[in-house]
Amino acid sequence: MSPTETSRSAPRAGTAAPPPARPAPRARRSLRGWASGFIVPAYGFYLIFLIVPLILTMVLSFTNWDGFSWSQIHFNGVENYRDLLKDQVFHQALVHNVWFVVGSVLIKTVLALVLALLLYRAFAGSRFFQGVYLVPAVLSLVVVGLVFEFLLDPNNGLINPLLHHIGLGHFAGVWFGNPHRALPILVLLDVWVAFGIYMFIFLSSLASLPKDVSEAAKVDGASAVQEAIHVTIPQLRDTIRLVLLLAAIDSLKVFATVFVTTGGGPNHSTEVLSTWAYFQAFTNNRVGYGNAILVVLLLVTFVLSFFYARRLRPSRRGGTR
Amino acid sequence: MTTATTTRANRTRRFPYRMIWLYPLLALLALTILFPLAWMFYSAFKTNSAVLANPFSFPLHPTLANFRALLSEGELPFWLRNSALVTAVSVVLVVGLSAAAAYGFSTFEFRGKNLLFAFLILGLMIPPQALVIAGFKWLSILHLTDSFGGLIFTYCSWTPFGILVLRNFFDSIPKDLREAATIDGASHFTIFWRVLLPLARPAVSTIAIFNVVWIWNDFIYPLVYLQSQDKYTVPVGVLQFQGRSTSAIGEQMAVLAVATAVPLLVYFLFRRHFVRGVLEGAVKG
Repeated sequence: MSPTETSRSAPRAGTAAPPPARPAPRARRSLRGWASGFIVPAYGFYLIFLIVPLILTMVLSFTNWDGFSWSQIHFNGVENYRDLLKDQVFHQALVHNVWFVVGSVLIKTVLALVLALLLYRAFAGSRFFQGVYLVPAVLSLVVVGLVFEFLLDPNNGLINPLLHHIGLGHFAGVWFGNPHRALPILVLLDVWVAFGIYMFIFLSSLASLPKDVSEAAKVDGASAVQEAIHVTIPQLRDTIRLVLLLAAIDSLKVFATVFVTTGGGPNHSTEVLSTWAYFQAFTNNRVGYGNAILVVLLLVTFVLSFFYARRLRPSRRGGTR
Repeated sequence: MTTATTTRANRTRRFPYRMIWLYPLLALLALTILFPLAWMFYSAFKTNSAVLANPFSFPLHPTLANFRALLSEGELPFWLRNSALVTAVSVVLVVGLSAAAAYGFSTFEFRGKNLLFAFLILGLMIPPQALVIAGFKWLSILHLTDSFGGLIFTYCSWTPFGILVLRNFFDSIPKDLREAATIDGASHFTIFWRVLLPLARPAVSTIAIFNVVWIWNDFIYPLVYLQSQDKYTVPVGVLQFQGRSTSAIGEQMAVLAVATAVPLLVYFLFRRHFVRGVLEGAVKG
């Protein structure tokens, strides 16, 4: 066990000095006996059903496999990746993924932070709003996609009549079918689903801030807004960074809402890497090529995860507990 | 998870006259969540012509016809059964596997432990849909496609979240407690099963609830791994109604309402655990 781990649990145990590490001879053992009995089952499933597919994804991306017969696999080096460079739709999809990461992450983080700052003050209804804002996070993305498809339906939906009612009739029109509107709608839907999660991360971080600083600001006559900008938000810097990273990693998982509502259309205007890979592998029967697209998605994920893992040391995680 | 308790304990509720301008804004945002859900639920009780005639209105003549039709002719009952079966079995396995592994990581010292542990974090980061193509081909080698087994085993690889949360919990339990048990001659299994696991009940519930929501709602794996319609889970089955847009809106809303009812119920019953899970590093979702 790492020294940080031990020292973290020590104060809770009520002991003054960190307990001595286990005797050296034991620490040198390899994984066997009781330890393996506890760890191997979970790790086995993890390796067989997550890591093997991961490796297979990478291996298949260097083949021209059509997905039908295993005897038809031929390694073709980096040809798939060379094709990616020429594939206009892939470029579009990559840009759209960037839109999801940048656009939806910024909106999510700002919205979540502002809401947390507002709702942290207990007032009538503050807990109700907290609870409501987390609801979309438990919904099936398929359901979310289908319901919004109905609401935004240009003929039988609710949005256009509503806009006419409140005098914004000139905005009425086609929504998911409009290549200029579909992507922003899907980004907003991504925000809608997850902002509550990040709001709660901010709320818990706010609860752990020392009270004296904010008291001092009040004594000095700072307004609530001044206090938030000059005192509270700087103290949340670490949490903001964490939320930005988590939200970015999460935004790369976008698939179901796009798949259900637009399927990547109209005319690829909402195509993202995973929908394009799905199309290539299962409709176009280019499994090798589809996996090359996914490898690009994985590489982006790995880069972001690297930054996240650096923060995930146990001592850092203490803040949210 | 301390949010709720601290707010309640330290601050008295008072009406914030200075903040009254906030209510319309907060309410508008809440409405974007509550209205679509409410609309979905009440439209499920309207006939199709009623939905088309006035999509906004509450059901003036509420009818159960949509639900009756779904129960008698559709495959919804099968999908519900499948989802319930897959979710129940998977969640029990995921919780058991992650609890055991968390105990192992928290208790034993062995070479490469930190590396093995860090390697699990990869599993939290990877977008599930990135592995589904290769995963499907891999399952076909194992003869597990179009079976609940393939799906359940895949979910059994979703243990990193549980291991992370439970290891943190086990690490925070005083070592004296375990040492006392060891001196009493308890085996590791006894310590794990009779001492630590009962203490970890809140953390275990958090993990279980999170996995219920994830697995019940999971879409891409059943979409790709299952081919026979009678094996579909609810999220994939729901999609079969798409395309009949105007002919059966009421019925479609009924399906969606049923699909949503389970996660919503879990949320309302166990909101506190769910919030705790969010804070414990929920990065999937």
